[in-house]
Amino acid sequence: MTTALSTLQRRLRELIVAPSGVAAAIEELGEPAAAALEQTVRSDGKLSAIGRLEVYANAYFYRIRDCLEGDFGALHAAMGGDRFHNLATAYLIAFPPRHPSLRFAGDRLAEFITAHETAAPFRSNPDGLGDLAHLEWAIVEAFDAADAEVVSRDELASIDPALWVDLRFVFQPALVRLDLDYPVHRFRLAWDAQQRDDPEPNHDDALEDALAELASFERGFHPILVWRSDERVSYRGLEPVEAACLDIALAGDSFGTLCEYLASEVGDGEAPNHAAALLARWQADGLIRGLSAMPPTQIAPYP
Amino acid sequence: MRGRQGREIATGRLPGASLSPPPALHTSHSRDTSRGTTHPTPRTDTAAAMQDSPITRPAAASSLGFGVGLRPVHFPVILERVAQQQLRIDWFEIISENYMVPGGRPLRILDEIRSHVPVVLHGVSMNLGSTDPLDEAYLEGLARLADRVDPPWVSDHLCWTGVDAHNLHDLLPLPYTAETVRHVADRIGRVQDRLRRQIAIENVSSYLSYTSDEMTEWEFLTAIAEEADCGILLDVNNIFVSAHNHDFDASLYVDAIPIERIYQIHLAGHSVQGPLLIDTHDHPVRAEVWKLYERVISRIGPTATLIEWDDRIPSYGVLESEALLARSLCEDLLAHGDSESPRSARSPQVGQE
Repeated sequence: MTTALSTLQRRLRELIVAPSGVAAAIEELGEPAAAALEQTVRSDGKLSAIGRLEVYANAYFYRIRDCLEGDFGALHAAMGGDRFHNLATAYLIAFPPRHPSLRFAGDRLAEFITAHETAAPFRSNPDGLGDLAHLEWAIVEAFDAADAEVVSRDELASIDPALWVDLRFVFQPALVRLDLDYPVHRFRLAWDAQQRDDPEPNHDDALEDALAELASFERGFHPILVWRSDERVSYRGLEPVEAACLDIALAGDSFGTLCEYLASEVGDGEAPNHAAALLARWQADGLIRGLSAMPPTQIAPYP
Repeated sequence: MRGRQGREIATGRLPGASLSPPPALHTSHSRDTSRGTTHPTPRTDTAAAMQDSPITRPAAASSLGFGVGLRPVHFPVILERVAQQQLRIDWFEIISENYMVPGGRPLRILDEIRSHVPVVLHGVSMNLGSTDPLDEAYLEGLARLADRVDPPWVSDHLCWTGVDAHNLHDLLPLPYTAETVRHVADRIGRVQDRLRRQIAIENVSSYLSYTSDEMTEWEFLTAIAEEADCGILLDVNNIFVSAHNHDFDASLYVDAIPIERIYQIHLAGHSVQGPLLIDTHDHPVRAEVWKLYERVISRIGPTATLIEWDDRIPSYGVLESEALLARSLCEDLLAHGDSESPRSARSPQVGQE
């Protein structure tokens, strides 16, 4: 029996997701498709089978498009409504939603923009749209990542100095490190500010300025950190040295290794102060869950 | 660009309803939910209920009272009212999927609210009617959330939401056939075994019907609930919407559902779009739906009732007032013992067409 039901469901799915709508898809598929639909879905004086199926087709597209707009607000602002709409259309064709929750509808949008063959029109004007999508998805991921206690300043201060060289950092899970080609976080900051001030402005000079700046970005190396602390998601650009130190620590290498790297970058004299400043910053930002003498594979998983 | 020719210029696709908003799927997808706590609410003893089957309506079905859907935009005011012990409703319902996440603020707030009032889990993605295999990872996540929240019951929809692992994020109707009854009832049975509790299934608003239908929607819903031995979440607005869209008598529907299966009622607003009514959850409950609700209550007595509002969400006070209106209607109705009581005349004031 499920053969008949699966045939019905596949037939309807094919028409619902057709990018130009049900009527156009039927026309494209020809008379057999039209006949099959009429044999499946009832038409009546109120509305044809095609008209009824269009309700679901519209809902499919607009519900997901709206969800994407919610998660990629700055990308939407940077592209404009029409282009974002077309991006959503192309994305849904390339990567149909597979996860049961709409929460994950945009999980491959950045990948789509940066790498998919049908996404070329969305990779420029301005450059960096893929980077912006990466940043905004990292914000989504940090928002509801697992909770974890973080260490206090006093707890850090109480560690025996003799132990530090072998200690390894354990970071909290709501933390994402990105390396972007364009400093798109500056645009997202402008967009965030605009959302706080007036989420539906007629015109916003600051955002216009940020759009102009976005269009002028030169390709470069822009390490970014996205994290959640006290239920608030934050992000900031990192200096290359801090980014490299953070990557060393994230990889599970020891504090001693981090200090050796710092010494090679800033000199033996400056390295201790620099390391102390990084530690203070990471602790204040709520990044550090703990320090351990154990290799990372032996550290207990998050609860 | 195909999308521009298609979706973007949608005028005329649905007579009188160009670029209409999508029907509500009650997935207020917003970034806002922590750690397990234990809660003092009565819980359906599934094992006992299943052994006693058929037909034991959980006690909470008649005692839970009146609630609203929990939406992140209302978190601050709800937390304030909870802290001041000024919550005027009895319970909340959450969209399960929105809280099936590792951590963060929404889960923390859910735990806080749950420590004060019961919370029902209402899902949109169980995909009970699909021919795809049941999604074990999804059920695992749902079971974890249920353990955390300890809800009076868990519900989802009598529909299919995708096939071939392609999720359409919509509640699509099923053909009303004896074979579909067996297919869906078997899947509900496996879900109930997995969750170790009975679930309630909700009737959906539908905009199409199938030529292969062998029975009415209410016969279909009843047959599945009885074969699977599960509860029913009766969405009165959905009945009204589907009755209009498919030209059947809504009163026949509500009079036919076995009382002992009805765990809960949903009420919501809908929109008129061309020849169809669409379940948009963006208006107050309409007068005709209040009338139908009164008919249900007069037949089945006090039943857990919830107001859903998912688009153009009003202030919490407006949402709460809808739940309080439901309470007032029920109290008056049951005091008079007659659905045609004069009190019911005030319900049309809240509707608008």
